[in-house]
Amino acid sequence: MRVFHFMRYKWWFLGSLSAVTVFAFVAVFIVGLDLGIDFRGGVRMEVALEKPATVDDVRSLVSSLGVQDPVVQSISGPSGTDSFLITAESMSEEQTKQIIADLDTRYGAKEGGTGVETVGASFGRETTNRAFIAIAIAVVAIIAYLSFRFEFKFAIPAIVALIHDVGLTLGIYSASNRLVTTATVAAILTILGYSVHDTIIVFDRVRENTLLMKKETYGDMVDLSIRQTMVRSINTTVALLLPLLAILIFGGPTLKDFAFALTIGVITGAYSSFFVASPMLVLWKEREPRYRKRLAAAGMGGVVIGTAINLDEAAVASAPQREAKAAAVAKAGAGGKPVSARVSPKGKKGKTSKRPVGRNPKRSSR
Amino acid sequence: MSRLKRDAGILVLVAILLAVAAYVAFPLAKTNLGLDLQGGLAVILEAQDSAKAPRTDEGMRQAVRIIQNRVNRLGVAEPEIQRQGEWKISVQLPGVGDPEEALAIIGKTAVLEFYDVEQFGTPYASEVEALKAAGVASAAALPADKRIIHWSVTVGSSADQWFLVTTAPLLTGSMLTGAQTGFDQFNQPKVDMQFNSQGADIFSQVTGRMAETAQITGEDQRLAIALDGNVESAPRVQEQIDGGRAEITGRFTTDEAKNLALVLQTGALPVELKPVSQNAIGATLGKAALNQALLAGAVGVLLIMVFMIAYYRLLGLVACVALAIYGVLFIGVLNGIGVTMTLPGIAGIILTLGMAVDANVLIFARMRDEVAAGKTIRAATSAGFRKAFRAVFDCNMTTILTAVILFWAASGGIKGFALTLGVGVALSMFTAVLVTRSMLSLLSGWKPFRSPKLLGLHVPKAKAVAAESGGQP
Repeated sequence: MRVFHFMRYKWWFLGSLSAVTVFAFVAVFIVGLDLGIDFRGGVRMEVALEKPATVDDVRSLVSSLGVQDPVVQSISGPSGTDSFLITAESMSEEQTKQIIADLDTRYGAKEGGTGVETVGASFGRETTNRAFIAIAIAVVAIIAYLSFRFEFKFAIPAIVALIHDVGLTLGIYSASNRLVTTATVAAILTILGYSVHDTIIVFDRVRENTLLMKKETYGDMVDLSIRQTMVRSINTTVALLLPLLAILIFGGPTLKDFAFALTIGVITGAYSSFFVASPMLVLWKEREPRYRKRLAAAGMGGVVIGTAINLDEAAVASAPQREAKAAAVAKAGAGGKPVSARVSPKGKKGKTSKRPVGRNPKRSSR
Repeated sequence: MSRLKRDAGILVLVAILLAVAAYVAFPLAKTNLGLDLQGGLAVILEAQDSAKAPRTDEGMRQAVRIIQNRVNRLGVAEPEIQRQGEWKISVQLPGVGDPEEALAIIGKTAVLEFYDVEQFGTPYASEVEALKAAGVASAAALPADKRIIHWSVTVGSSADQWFLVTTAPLLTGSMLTGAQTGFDQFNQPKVDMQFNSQGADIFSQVTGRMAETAQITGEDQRLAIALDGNVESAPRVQEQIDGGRAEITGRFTTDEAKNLALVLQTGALPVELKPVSQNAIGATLGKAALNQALLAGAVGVLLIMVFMIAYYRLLGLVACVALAIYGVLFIGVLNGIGVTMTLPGIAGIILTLGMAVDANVLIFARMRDEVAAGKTIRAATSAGFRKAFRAVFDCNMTTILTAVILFWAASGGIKGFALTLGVGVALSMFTAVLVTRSMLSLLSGWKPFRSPKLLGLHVPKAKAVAAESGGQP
């Protein structure tokens, strides 16, 4: 198994992804989010037409009735592509009725294919406030939970990764001028809960490896943990992206909106655990005296995991001889962990190691 | 052996649960569908706070009951009227085609008030006359403590009448506990009313004073019963009435008496409600949304299953069986607790399908580690489950946490999403961990389940060779 030394480039990852996040937030603040009627109040109308019409046809009809700044979208409703979503901040009941009547005479409105949603401005404000409060509580709850199950220094990087995920999601919404709805907020809260999964998977391994490895630098331990969990992180992400993909293709407008935000969040959540949460954890942890010592030792040719570790494969190749040892390790709750490390004599950055990790006598005693 | 027994026991338990769930879950048609899936009208009404009619908790509870009555009169099947937060009431009317009519009935802000009619209860034939009696030229010039209310008489020969009353009502509808029709000793229809204790005290005092005045002056004393400022009835008061019971007699027809009782009953809305959000969904629209969601869900499940089997082979197949068990149990739970399924709720279900196999992915990946480390499949299975559990638990807990928060914060359909997400993730932990484990344990004796290759636990040869040669690029 080849270990990728991501942590040697931690500043690169942190720097570039911070820049991306900052850029996303700047976009959100400058361009602004297109808050839908759920937050500002207004009217959303869905009509299914029987004869083909274009977005422009519908928009000009709506505008001609005196509705200010209507947003018209073509959606996949009951009548295929001839369904439209008309949104406006203010539309009187007479206007909505007139629009439906006019559309009916011109294009034939489908029986029972009309929906009108009206949200009062004060109700919208309340929704916005609740959304903010809910997101704030969720962040605090996740920090508290991770601090309780791991430690505080694990919780903060996980949250920073979440900020990246949510920031990027909002940034894409802002840049592409997508309407933010309550479904979007629900999706963002779900992202908060879900995209921390991959971070937990990596950190769980780090937590375990910390107990097993007594000499390696923190960065190397994290690199190894990432490598050990990378495939499963990708697989869990794929397992969730598949149903989201199905929704994006077959779902109606509400579900699509929801799945769109989640898809961004799930994808960013997968890589941000490797490239945001992990580097931050390393930076922070390497300030602790014991890891600083290991780092110093590594700098002087101490223990480093080489560019290649064939731990698991080596164990398979020579399973009979190692069986007893592996079993002993497993008993100590450490099976599947590196029992031997082949250390490259030519490390990528010229770091070398004299002592293979697996031969560490302390290891077998555990 | 005991482990085998335990695993068999778990599976038997699951089978029983599954049977119960299937019984509750199917046919799927009996699932309560939300308005977004079957069409209808959803309104959120908010109580308005004013000095004249301050909103109270008691008032809100009454209002919910009253709206319930009104909606029942509409003949809507399975309406849902719920208190939402402190000052809101959510009204859901499935299948209502004409939102306007329904809204008119629900949204009618009816405030019932009892007024003491001034000037010895003399009604005036026109507003001008009433104004003249009050000594002012126009309604705007009326002193703050006086107002004129109108009695539009729709039946009989009597003409419309106007009353000059004190602005503050003697009694309001919130003090009324009931109203029914009955017949007096002359077999004339009448309306009986009951007040709560506070109302009874006031009513006794007021009627006592009015009866006394009537005796002294010899003139009729009237009480004006007004709904939304319009007089519905103006009975004469002949004696002091104790015990919180009052009756309105007059030349009613039976229908009129019934209507009045209904107005008194249902009109006694103690808070002023205003619609703050409403959503009218056509039936076809709802049906299309449901079909789209079901199609997306089915395709989603199929994709997940194909992926799991392609990657984890027999293990993947076991995970798919666990996923199917999860699906049936979940729908059973949802139908069992009577959840109304909404579009966001279905989104939550689809999402949990993806999250349910996450646990399996983590466990199987651990098993691969263990097998690669040279363990037997049986040992790898037990170690894999044990070691993956902590990460699985932590992952699911963060999702459950956010679902709980979302459930608290959200309203309407999004609440349904939070519910299915939270319940689903909790349930999936049970099926993906416990059920999969028991199945694997029982199957472990079977030959195909001893082959790492068939189980998807093998390490590809090419990789092993690369590793052996040092893995240098």
